[in-house]
Amino acid sequence: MSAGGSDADGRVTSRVGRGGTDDDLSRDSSQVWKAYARPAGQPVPPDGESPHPELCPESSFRMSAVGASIDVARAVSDEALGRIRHGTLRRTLKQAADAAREAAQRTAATELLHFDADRAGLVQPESELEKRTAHLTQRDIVQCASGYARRGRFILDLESYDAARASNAARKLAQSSSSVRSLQQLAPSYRARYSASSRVLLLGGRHNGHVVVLDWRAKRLMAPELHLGETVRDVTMLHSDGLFATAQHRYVYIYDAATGAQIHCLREHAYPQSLAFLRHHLLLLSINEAGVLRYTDVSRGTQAAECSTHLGRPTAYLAVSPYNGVALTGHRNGVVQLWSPAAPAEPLAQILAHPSAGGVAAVAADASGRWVVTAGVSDGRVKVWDARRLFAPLHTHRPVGGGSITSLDTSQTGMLAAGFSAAGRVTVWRQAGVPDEHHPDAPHRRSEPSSSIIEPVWQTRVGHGRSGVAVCSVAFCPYEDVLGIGHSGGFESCLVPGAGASQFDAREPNPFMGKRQRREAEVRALLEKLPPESIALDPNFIGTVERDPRQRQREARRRSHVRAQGEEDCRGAVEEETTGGGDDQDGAAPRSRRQTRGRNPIGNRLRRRQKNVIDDKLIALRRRRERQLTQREHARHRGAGAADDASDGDVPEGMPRALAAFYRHRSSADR
Amino acid sequence: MRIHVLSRSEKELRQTTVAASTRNYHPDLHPFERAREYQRALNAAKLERALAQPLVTTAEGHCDGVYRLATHPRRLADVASGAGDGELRVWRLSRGCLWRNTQAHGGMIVGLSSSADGRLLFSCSGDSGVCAWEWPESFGDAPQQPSSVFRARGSAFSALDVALENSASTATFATGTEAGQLWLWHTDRSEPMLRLQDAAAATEELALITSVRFHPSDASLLSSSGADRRVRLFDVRQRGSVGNTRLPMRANEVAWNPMDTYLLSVATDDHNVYTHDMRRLDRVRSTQVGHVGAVLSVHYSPTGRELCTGSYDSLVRIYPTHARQARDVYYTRRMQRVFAVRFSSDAHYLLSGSDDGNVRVWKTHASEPLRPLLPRERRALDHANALKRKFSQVGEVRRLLRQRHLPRRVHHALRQKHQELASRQRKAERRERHS
Repeated sequence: MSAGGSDADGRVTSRVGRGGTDDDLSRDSSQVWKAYARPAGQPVPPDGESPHPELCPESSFRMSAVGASIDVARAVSDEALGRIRHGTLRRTLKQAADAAREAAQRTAATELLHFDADRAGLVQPESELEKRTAHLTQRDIVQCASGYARRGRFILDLESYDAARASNAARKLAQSSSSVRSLQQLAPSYRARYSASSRVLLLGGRHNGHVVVLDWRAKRLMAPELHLGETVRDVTMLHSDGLFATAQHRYVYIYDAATGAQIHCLREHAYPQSLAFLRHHLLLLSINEAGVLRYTDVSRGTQAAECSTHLGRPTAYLAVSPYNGVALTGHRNGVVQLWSPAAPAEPLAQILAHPSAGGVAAVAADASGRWVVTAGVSDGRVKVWDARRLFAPLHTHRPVGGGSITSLDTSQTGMLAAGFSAAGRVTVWRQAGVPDEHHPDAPHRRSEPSSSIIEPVWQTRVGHGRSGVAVCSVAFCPYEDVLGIGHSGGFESCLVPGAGASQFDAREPNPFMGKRQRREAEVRALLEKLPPESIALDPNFIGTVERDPRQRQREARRRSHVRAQGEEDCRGAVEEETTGGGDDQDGAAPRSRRQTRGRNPIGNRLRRRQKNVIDDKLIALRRRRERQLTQREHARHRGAGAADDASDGDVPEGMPRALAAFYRHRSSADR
Repeated sequence: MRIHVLSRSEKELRQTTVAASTRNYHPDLHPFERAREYQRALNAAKLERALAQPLVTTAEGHCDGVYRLATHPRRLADVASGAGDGELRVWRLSRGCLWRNTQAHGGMIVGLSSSADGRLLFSCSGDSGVCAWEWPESFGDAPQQPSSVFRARGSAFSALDVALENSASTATFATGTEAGQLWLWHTDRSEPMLRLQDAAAATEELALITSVRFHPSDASLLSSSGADRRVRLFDVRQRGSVGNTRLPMRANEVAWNPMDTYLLSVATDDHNVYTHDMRRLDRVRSTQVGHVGAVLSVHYSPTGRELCTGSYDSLVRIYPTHARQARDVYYTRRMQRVFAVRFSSDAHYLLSGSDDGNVRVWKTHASEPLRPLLPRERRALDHANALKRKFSQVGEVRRLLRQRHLPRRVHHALRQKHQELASRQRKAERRERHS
């Protein structure tokens, strides 16, 4: 639902315009889901289907016939296999399912080897008094760090950066803009980015045009420093360590990281505000001051897509989900939009995240694709959203202390860092700041959204405690326990134990790639460049069976309707016979979709009359329900511990995560 | 407070190969896994089509069409070809040269087969009977006269096969006659040991036998295909036929699956190959379709996993044993009607003899390199094949793997055939609905 268009029930524009409060969102989640999140219909389907099936773009990736399905392990249970009468098909499917299961078991068996627990960083309190770890200073941590790790701790004081150049830049800026700005306001605030291999640190000074490409481990400048003499709003590394892009005052430019030479000027990216890069798709994204998101294929130099947000200048830096490549934009009216170049006309989804004044300050998405994190400009809140169910925040927390959040980033291990606009404050939480009981994978998750103060793992103040220091960007360094903080006084690299993945993969960009490996990786990246159409909310839609999305939606609606009715009817019939027989009986009766507020005497009378009608469908449903209950009872009496666990949909204790899908899946098949 | 910051041994990582072989399969480190695999599969499929060069070599020289082929059981490159003018040629294909050419018969060679020990080569023609020749050991050393001759008396021969087991110096072979009889011979005797005939059929019904094949594991079982559309199973111990089935059209050649020895494939005139189970001859196990002319020859790969066919539409097709559609199709501009196809004994090559008088050698897998592969190359190829298999039903990969360019006339004929079949089915359905 783009801001220009209107939804079927026309609630979108009114809600966005009115700017409902946060409480609105949490109170009536189903309505918000319908109004704000694009996928209308059910939340995560129970039968293991992909969460956003109807969002996948129409493309040639889908399987056009039922053959050897790729999703066999998820899609077909043993019982279902037994029902297939066609021998060859059954054998093929069984082989595929067995292969998938074996692969998962092998992965589970070797999980320990790949997660190098001895090497991974950690902070472990040893007594009750030491429970808080946030107060740890960098000095404490550096004392415990090895020589290798200590290289991650350094400070670049760039405030005393060449005054003449800075003033030149300031004069130019003052000339170009009508508003009068003082030099104070034009203090350089540095954007910091790491390359995918973590070898290169890229710094771009916003107001002074100072760009630094640094091999930070060796503390070596890869290219001469650039003094561009104009605004540098954002910088990003491209697919290799040898190229980077800057969003300058008018255009986006691409530079060679080895020589600092300008290679390209992308004139179609006019007045860019923020940049991002999708390294598997070789797409460079920029959003401009009119709120237009552009995708350029850097291998061919062609524009892949152009998406208009129609919401004006973005208030948050562009973020890209490393899990599915979806771009997230944050806007002044508090809306966060999710974009894919495969569907440039409308956002895949939009969330009214921070309706209070000022809008969205920062957006981030984590590598596992579980969370989207947003921060508001004036409401001082950080909201964590389950990426699969964007209708209500999973958790909202309000960091204590001054200043508003300017930047967010997530680490490979799921840590969340936030930079603040006042006093150089930076805070880091573990698990994106979500308490354990709200974790999406938690077995007994509390369903209602929570709001509380979460204890950070670690926090600091950068810029020597000066009051005027504003953090411009925070960036976790991949494969290292390092957090880079760009602020108005320069750059500071801090050690955050437990932030980086301890074990790298030689086939992915990593800090220890040799020259030959780097060359090969570049060729491979070009050969295996993904088409822009492969970006969707569910990145695994390729190879699934294509179905008409509208029919699918209709079916889901009918199924949920029938289920709701059946449960409602059965509840009356079964309640007196069994006590707590079914595990899905405990919540309140689901309200009818059409039900509105207030009394409805005619409707009530009709419903009462309907109760006495003997309906074949109803009887069949009741019988089925009873049969299920008795089967469950039998299973329980048989006392098969593990099997019982599985049928309840719970994963047994101590089971590796890779095998969890099978348990969940078996339970859905039983149902 | 216990604090530990991630640390690595840089010396080890920089100076050894540890950094190049370290793996971490955590899914977060490998985003877009499915999309990237699909892309790799797509690249592999494209590469396969780009590198597909199936034709290895052509052996030229016959003055008439090549109607029968035989391979040496031990020597991979030795091949014999029999032509319509009775000329028999023996080739050493690895050197690309002809080892011997003999005017073996006065008429068309209807049967050509090698003994199991690779000592004798039997050729058969309609009136002149069967000649046994020594396989030449080297160039030009072979005699111009056959080592023995077995005359046909009373009826002309139309097919020949040699048993797969033989003793040190002798061999058993069978010939089919134009009168629909099967004669069993032994190299020690000048007269046939046994004359087999389908007792159930009346004599006037019996028609020319187009091919005869010994069972690969039981020497007393034989199968034959006849011009009277019948496939028959004979048992020497019972001295007669033990089963038969009738096909829609004339059966041209019959072939046993060498691994699943109960499977029997028949090439027929109605463009299809039918595979039967010898225990239930009346039932068709699978049908191989795709030709637009009569299928003249069918042969199984020694592994039993694939079968190849040669057809009157001048195409050679390769089918996986149980598949309905062909895996690949081979043709050249100059190749005419294909009368004989054979797999080489290592299953890597395919031979075809056609009406234009040439013997052609093809690769079984059109894009695989023929040279020995390094282990790394082998692994890369296996990986690519696994990916292609995984995504064989998806989008562009499916199209690339299945689509083949065909000669214009075949393409049109195929389209017309599809239309005819669809129309026939439509008509049948309507008739059913309104009856």
